[in-house]
Amino acid sequence: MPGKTPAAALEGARRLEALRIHGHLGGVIRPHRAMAGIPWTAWRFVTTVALGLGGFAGYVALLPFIGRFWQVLFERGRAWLGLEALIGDQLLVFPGGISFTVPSVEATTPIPDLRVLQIAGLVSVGVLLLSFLLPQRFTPLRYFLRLLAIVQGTAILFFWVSAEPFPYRIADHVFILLTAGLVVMGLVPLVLGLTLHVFDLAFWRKLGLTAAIVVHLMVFVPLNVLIHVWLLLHATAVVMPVLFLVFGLLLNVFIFVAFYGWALSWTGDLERRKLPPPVHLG
Amino acid sequence: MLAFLALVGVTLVWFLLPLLPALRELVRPTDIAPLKVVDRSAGLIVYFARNFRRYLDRVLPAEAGAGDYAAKLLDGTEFVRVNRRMEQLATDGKVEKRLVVLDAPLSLPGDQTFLMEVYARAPLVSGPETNYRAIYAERDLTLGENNRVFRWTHAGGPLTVGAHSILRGRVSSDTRVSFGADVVFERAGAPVIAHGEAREPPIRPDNGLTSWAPEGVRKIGDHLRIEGDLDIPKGSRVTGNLVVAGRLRIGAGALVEGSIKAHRDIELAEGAQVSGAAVSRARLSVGPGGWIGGPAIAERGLRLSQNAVVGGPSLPATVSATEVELAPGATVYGQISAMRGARTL
Amino acid sequence: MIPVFVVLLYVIVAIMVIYTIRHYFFTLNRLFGRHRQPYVDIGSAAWPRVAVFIPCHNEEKVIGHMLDALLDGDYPADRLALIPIDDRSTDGTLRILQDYAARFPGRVAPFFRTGGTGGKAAALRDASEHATGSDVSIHLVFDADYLPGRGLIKQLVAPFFDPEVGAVMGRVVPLNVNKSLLTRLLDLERTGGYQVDQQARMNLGLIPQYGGTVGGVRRSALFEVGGWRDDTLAEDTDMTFRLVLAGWEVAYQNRSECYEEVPERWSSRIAQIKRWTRGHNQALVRHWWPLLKRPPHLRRRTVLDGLLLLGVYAVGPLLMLGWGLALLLYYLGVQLAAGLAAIFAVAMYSTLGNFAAFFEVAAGVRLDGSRGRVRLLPFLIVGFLVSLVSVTWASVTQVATAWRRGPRPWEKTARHRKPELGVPDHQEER
Repeated sequence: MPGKTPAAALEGARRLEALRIHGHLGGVIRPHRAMAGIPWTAWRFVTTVALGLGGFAGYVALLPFIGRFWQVLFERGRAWLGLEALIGDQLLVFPGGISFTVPSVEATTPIPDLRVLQIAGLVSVGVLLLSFLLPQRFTPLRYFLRLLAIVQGTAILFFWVSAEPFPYRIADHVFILLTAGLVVMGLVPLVLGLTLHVFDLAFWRKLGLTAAIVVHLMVFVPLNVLIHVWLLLHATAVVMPVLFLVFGLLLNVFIFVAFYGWALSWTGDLERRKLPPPVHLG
Repeated sequence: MLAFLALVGVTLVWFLLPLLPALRELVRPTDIAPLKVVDRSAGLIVYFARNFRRYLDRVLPAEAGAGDYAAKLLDGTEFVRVNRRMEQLATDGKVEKRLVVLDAPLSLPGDQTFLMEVYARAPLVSGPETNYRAIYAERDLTLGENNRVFRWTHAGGPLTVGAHSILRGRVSSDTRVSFGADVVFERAGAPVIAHGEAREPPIRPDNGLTSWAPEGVRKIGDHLRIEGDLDIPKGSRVTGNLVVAGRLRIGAGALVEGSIKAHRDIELAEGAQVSGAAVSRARLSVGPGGWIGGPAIAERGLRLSQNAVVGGPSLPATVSATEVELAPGATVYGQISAMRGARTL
Repeated sequence: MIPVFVVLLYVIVAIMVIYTIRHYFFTLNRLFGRHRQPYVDIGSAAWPRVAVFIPCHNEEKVIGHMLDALLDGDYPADRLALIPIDDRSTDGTLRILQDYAARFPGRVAPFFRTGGTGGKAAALRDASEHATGSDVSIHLVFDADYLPGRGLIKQLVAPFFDPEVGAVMGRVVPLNVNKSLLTRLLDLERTGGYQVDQQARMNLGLIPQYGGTVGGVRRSALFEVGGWRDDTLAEDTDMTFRLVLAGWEVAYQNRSECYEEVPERWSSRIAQIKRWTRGHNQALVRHWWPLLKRPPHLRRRTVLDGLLLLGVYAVGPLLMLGWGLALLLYYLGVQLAAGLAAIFAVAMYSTLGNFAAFFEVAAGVRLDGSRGRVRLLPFLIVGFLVSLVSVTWASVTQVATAWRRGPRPWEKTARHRKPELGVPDHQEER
């Protein structure tokens, strides 16, 4: 086969012999994992860009709908939970002239009195004690509980000693969490473009996962915020820091990671077609 | 309060939904075994061949002595045993789908395809235009022109490969491998591997060379480091290991007593010698009659010109590069690995 | 004061972003870049004389398995010396080593320490100076709980044919994955660290780290840089940087895998990571300035990689400080920037930033071809929390007690293996 490169000659022989990838007992012979890689294909490159940018564009187009959906959810939620608050709307203007409304919650932000602070203090101490009583195998939980107790402790300290008024109202809390949720949702297609679509998963799976995460967060974020509002109205602003810092954006990220881990366990195209992963040669 | 608890419940369930695969994996693991650490022997050139031979020991029925017949291995695989009646095999461009055991010295006519392994207990000569899945020959093996082997090839005796053949996977012999022209392969291992006739390592010149030392070097441990390129004049002798940050050229007939490494190309001119290893981050070319005593490694291409030699009868060595080219007479004592393929010129 | 806090917070976020970019860069390189394993195919060579050092302190549960595995290897027996170093063990280690020395004279030559500074580094220093002849050119090091395969020694020796290679590191693979959530999480972390991080460094010609086990050093390089230092808790990181600064390369062999036992209990894990933190921080203090001065043989990107590598354990306390500042600024009602931009910045960091580490692990698992375990990815968050707190605490106490000097105890990870259970065979690929 003069003129052909050795690699092309070998590839020709490989195509001739689909059976080469099977051992004499029928299994797929894979190169050692140390040598494996995931080379680009034109199709994967196009779909990565399309899903990343297209997904983002689609999300932006959906924003007004999401705003209305949240509005309905908040109004129903207020009635159902019996919240002493007014549900309004707030105009959001994103770069590029995109504007839409998201729900706002107007309510008096209860400030904790000494008794509430004492109860909060007792609960925090209890949580801290619990973290020390838990067996060693629950170490991550022990650390998490201590984190909670520390953050809550700072809030108690603030309300106890600070001469300054607490700088946030329920309305601010809700606004920040909803907009942060929107930003995370907007990042989903872009981050997946970089970290998921580059793998050899089926197109429909990638598309499905992008949609699933956005839809999941679209429902989760307002439900979570409604819980926050109820807690703030009943337990006062003393719980706002812990809700904001630990039970806000962090949960959204956790959801994203959970979906991502699940998706990465799916069978890839190469494996499904019983092709060995190619070796990187540059 | 009840409504709130219900909301918390619904939200919690919704939150946990994407976590279900993780929780399931945690509670009922599906992938909890340690990664299989594969033994180094899997990297041996003869690994698959030996595995196949062991497999035959297990599954070839004990009563299957010499003779011509078709039967099944103990694992149900169909095989055909050939002693004299070669017509049992599919010929004339047809495909033989059974595993083949050859008992007597045979010369195959060519233009055949063997979809299962061929096991030759006696010397085997393959005709032209023959495709094999894999061949295990206990003794001599001669492959004709334009043969193709898809998985591995092993011969206990000398292995001769006809011109224009393509051998995927591992090619090995317990004695020697001799390639014809325009043969493409991936990995080869034998006490001596050559394109055509094997050559002995050249005689090391004891005198007549001028001692030479590069300038502007830094001594680091047991090597000299040179920033930039280095040209070693022809007919000179350099003692010590060299690491060159740029390109390294070794002039005709020059000798480096030690190992060399260059971050760019290495060129050994005609008759140049390196007693130790040669490592290039880019390309390595050994001129006609040149010699490298230790492993020759190039991260891009590697070319052995006419009669160039790597290693020696008592100095096993490896040639490893992304692509390898062997000119007639090029000889390697040990092993050749070329991820993108090696070719004889 | 508030502007100072704000600026400080931004500096911390900027450092985190740099590490984030590094993570993404390494992962994308590993997935799509040119793969460098130049020495992996060296299977036929005139193999040099090698000494394998195995520091031991109360290793009766595992040392027999280790020696058996090494004795079963395919390295020419006349060119391989096994040197277990017993450092004042109080269990049956001494007796086991004497037994092996009697059964394999000339092959197993234990080195017994009865005094001097304690610890692995000191043990290695003494043994490397006294226990080998000058004809030994390569010193390999294994921890006593490792299980090398038959051909591992050849694989680890192969890169030393390159005269520029001063140290070699292989890949560590956890064996006891199925013991607990912790071991499963550590398995994921190791995958990201070796399959992706170390290999990407190798691909890019940066600084793969010599990890103190499943690896080794060239004898001439070792003594040129002054031998093992016994005043460090991370003699491996210290050696990596001393070699690199002196003009040597560290090679990573992704194909050279060896089983290890990872900690099965959180207390062991916390102790381990605290020890690594203190040792790594020592290396940071010692080597950041010589590295920054950039010796002529180092490229700028290598220096940058080295500085970031030195700083990995300092990131923990920085991140905690960042959280503290964020909390403080939250109470002070400080807007970090105008409205949405601030939220966007935080969200960017929380998702893209933190997420880089998950991407690295997931990519590694995917390349390993063992996909099911990647579902545990969200639980890594809790593992990170424990590590972050432990690293921070170790760093803070290290600074607070820097003035103290005293005898150095043996610090090692608890062994969980039951001797009577034996060792699983190394499995073979078809």
